[in-house]
Amino acid sequence: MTTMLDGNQKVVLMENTLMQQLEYDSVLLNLETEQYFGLDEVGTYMLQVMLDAPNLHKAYELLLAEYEVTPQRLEADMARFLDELMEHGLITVTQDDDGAG
Amino acid sequence: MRKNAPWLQNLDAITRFLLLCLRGRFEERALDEARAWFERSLLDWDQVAQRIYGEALTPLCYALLREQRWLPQAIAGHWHEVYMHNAMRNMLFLVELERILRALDGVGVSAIVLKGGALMESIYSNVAPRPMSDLDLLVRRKDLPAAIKTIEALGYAPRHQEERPGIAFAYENEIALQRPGREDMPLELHWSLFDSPFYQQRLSMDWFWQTAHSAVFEGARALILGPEAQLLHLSAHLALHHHGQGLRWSHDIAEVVYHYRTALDWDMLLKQVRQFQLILPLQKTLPLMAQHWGVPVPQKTLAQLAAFTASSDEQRIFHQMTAPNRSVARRFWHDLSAMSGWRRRLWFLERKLFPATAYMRQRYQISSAWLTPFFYPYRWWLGMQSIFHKDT
Repeated sequence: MTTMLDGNQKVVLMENTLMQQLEYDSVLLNLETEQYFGLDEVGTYMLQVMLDAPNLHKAYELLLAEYEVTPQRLEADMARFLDELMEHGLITVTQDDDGAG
Repeated sequence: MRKNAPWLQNLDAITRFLLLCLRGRFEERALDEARAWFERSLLDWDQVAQRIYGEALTPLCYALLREQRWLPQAIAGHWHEVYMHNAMRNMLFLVELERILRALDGVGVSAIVLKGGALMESIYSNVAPRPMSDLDLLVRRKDLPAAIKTIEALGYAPRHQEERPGIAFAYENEIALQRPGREDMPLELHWSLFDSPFYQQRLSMDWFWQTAHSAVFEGARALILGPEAQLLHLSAHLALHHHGQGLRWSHDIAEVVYHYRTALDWDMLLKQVRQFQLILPLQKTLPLMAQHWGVPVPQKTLAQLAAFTASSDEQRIFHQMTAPNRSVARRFWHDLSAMSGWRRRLWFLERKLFPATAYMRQRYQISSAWLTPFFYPYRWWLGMQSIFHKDT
């Protein structure tokens, strides 16, 4: 079961999460549990776009322009990706105060 | 394809292959040579992977070979897991290092980050390739009490009990500490660099501090050894503490030479090598950097170094420290003979022969206090027995 994406939400790393970019991939480390989660090149890029974008809608637009993928497929992939990272306690979503997007 | 250099003839097939792979850090064509050598010598990936794992080089080899199509998928998959796990472990080390450095800075204690931590900051731009087994920090001897108190307040405790309180400060060059946790965090706090009373008495640490460079670890300020001091330390560490063995350690030295190739002051290095009586370790290590690793060491420097003659004291200490399988008794005798002054020797002797009861109970797992006196003769007997242990 995947989360429905709310375009006004913004992705942020949890306070106890450390993200380290490696040469191609990256590691997300939960400092509290000392559990880690590896992201490949695509996953690293997706997460970086989501973290940098003011909200999920903007991130979605950027990723849609970047990858050859249908809108439905991208939305499903983003939702599944965010679910997995949230399950591991690595990220959370907050409401974008500006409401942009 | 280049003709194989003469040095290749003396190495076993897997070592040749690994050296060629690791040289890929410094010259691209080395990876093509590695592949050609692998095919020509009919190497078996399982054997190679086992050796790489044993040398703790898996993450580094993965970083070098991940884009090579000739790396089997199954091996690449396993190495990737090790690489990611190492990245996580090193991230924990760096977070911890920052915490310690900030705490030390808070009490006015300067620290030099040594070995893996320093190489991570100065040479590798990626936390994943180089494994770290502990954190190594150098502090000034005068700062030791404050440093230990500060680090203990962060949850660290000595890994080994001292025979008598203060014996480590008087006769050793480091204290091993550990913070227990899901991932244990070992820390070695150094105040001198080599594990021999000879060097502890003669090695002036001033030069290492004066030539240190400032560095930032995850936002925390610290120092790392200057290029010449780092090269000197790592070379002597490899020769004296690892008997010249271990590709991981020699690779570190090659990285330092390559990274600082335009900045290294070779004359300054040679001057310090003579002053510190570290001629033999450098004579063993530096030529290999040029021969095996292909990193630029000036011919003039190698010739000058080769012409140096080590003092009889240095030769004796080098022989003692690099003797394989040194028995407890021989180590004890070597330490005692390397000390200057009878008073100092007697103090050492008395503390080694009659350790504190708390140490005795922990060391020999003595269940009842009344049994403790009987374990002193047992300790001496074990020591005497080890005299007959042959130093091969």
